[in-house]
Amino acid sequence: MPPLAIVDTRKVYDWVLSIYVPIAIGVFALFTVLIVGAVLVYRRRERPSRRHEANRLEGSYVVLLTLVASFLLYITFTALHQDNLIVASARASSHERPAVTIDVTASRWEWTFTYPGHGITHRSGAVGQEPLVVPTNVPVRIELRSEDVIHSFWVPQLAFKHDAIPGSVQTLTLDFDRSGSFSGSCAEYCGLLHAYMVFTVEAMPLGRFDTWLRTGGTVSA
Amino acid sequence: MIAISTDHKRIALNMGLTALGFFILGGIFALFMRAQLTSPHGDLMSNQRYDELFTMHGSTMIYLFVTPMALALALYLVPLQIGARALSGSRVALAGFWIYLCGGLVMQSGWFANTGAGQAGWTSFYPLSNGTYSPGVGQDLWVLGVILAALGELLVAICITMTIARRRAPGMTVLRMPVFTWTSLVSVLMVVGAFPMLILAMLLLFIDRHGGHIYSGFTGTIDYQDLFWFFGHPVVYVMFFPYLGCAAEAVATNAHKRWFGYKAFVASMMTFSVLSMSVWGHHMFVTGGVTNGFFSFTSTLLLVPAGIEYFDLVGTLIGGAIRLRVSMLFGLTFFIQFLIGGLTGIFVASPVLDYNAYGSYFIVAHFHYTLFAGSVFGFFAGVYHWFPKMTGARLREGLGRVHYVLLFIGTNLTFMPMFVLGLDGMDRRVSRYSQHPGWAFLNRLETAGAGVIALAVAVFLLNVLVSLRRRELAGDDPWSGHTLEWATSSPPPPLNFERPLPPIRSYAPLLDLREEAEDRARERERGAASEARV
Amino acid sequence: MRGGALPLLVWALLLAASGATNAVWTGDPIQIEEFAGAVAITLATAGVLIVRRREAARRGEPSGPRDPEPVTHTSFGAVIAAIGLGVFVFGFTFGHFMIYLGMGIMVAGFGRLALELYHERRAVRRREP
Ligand SMILES: [Cu+2]
Repeated sequence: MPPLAIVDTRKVYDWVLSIYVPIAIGVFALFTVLIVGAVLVYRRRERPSRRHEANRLEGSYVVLLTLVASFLLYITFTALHQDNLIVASARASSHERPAVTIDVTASRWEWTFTYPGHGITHRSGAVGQEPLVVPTNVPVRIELRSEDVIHSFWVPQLAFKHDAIPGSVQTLTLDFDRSGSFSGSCAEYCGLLHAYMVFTVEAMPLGRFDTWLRTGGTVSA
Repeated sequence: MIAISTDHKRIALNMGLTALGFFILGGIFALFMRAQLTSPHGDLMSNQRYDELFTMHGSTMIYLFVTPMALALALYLVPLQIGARALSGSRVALAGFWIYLCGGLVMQSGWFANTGAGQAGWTSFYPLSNGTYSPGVGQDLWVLGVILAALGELLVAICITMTIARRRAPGMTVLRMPVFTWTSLVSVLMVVGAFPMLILAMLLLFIDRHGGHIYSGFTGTIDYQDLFWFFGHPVVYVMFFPYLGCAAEAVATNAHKRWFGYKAFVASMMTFSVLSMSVWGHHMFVTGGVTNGFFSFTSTLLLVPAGIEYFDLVGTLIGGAIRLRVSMLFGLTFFIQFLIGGLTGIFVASPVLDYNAYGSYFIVAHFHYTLFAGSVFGFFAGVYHWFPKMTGARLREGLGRVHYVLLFIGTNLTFMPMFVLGLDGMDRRVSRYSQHPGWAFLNRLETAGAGVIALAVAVFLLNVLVSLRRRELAGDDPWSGHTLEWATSSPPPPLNFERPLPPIRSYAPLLDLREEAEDRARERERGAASEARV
Repeated sequence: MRGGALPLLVWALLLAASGATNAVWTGDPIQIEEFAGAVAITLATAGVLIVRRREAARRGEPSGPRDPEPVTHTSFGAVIAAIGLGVFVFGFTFGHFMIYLGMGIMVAGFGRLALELYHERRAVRRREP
């Protein structure tokens, strides 16, 4: 049932959503119809029924609810496993070498993107708007740090975020399967200029990215 | 005398009125926030002012309105529903109310501090809330205010627990307690189990802020959240169960049927409350500091007990003799709108979905559908249902309908667009946002909705005023109630019951009496008919 | 009174089960401590009830209160003590004198409370045959 060869977190997210949303809409519609329908039918009736339990029926209903919960958990755990395969540091250290490692450091109130060994440092947030440049269709390793309070690295395009917590390095591997420029932001309230802690992601094919890297980020992204 | 009375009804009214005052204050904070967000680069206020407003809006609503209001309802109604003449430890409850009031004043006094009121969010995560990143007296006042408010609420909860345990009337077994009393019992158990953890977390935070080095490094940061959310999730259900009880009583009474599936309901309350003590880590999915699988498991399982409530609701309605009074409208809408909050809750119980939703307006929409579209509607169901009992006068049905329609429109106009904004990438807790296509429009809708909500609340206050001035006398039992509070005068005398209590054989003793009388009348009729045939 | 401790015992038991699942699944020490703390508080509350009256742990219909009970209408002492606590806590931010002032008010409140309780007990004893 889970799609094979999931390449990015957005696809995992979309897959889970595509199962959760119809179920939620169905449940909402069912109960709204039942409630409104019952009200319309039994409005202004005079003699109320005295039936006040249906334990057999309710028992089977509980079994049904448990089955629904189990199904949702199966979907969620499958997806969580996929996400872990994509994101977890286990993959970063495996044979599949990431094409590039980027140090992402959050501080109040800016993001610093450093490309170790290439002498490139970009900053975005309250101070400027230099993008996070990434290659597409190869794993990108992100070493996430915070210099002060908790921040959260969020790229809605990937439907993924992770906290940057002081005193720790969070290693993530992300895949960008599409070229283009996407917005990103800090998703954990971090003080006065939290709203300005935004950045742009520039995703480009590996060839162009390599050129960009080799020229020290001088060729326009 | 009113201020020092140990009558549980008086303490409850004082606490409820105080909480209502804080509701209006917190609502005004929200209106200012919505005004700022009308356009992407609103210049109504500074960033700091906005941060103070959202911090104090959340804190006021959670610590000073929804939670204490839930306890105040329980404090008023539970002794009446179980046939008790007084509260156990009424002095402790009285002190609890005053400590809560002091806590509210201490927290709000931050507005007069030169560095401004608390501005680290209602969660005040570490290290943002420490002495380095949130210096100043405003945050101290916030921490101390939370400690006092939580302590006061804890004391009231202990008294309610003890009253339920010790003062049930003869015949009132645990499995004959009314639905609202059950929802209150599990809520106060959660307060007793979880609030000490908040007080501990806040004491440690206060010490840390003054050079104590309590929380440090990655572990300390995670520990703070573990302590905070151990309180912070259960409190969400403390802010839900009693309002569920209000809505359920209003629905059952207006359907003229006892609440359906009582035993399953009680079992679901027990498992619901225990499970909700076990899900707090779902607030920490993106920290990398908790086992996401476990908390996803417990959080998703919540749909089972929650589903039982809906089964029982539909069961109550089917076969009923339904009257659509205002309390019924609010009660039914509570269930329908809460469903939106609950279903999106199941969404964010899936870590993969939460990785996107966390920290965004999706979450803001989700919890406002539970707390506002849910609990506040349940609260109004309770108000329209029990106002006659508490004051002796009914609220006006006409104004009530206007109040209901406005609140329904305002609520959905305000909170529905937030789901879209959140999925589209808008962060919460921002005073300014980027010029994405559509964002400004949706935000303007929300601001308009907030205005409609304010209007609805004004109509409600007008209704209270009019109904108290020109009284429509309610009598002891205006709705043909099911539970013991309707077996005494309105408002009840100081020791609650002057007449002997009816026999208690189920969770709806007054309905039992009515059904027995009906049966007797029918038998007499049948007897007369057969005699005539002879 | 009868059966009053039962919901608490059931609740504590369920919570302990949930905590045990958490312990096995996560092994996270702070989370285990939190569960243990909440279970302990609930059990302690149930314990207080059971120690007072054994019937709190027995099933069946309550028979209502038996001992004569004092009727409390007002308590000035409780309010004074609560306000004292508020002033005491407030003193940690502004003016340290308020710490001492608050402590003073609290002592006065507890004194008054003791007096109230003493009079109440005496009134009840006088009623008893
Ligand atoms: Cu940030």
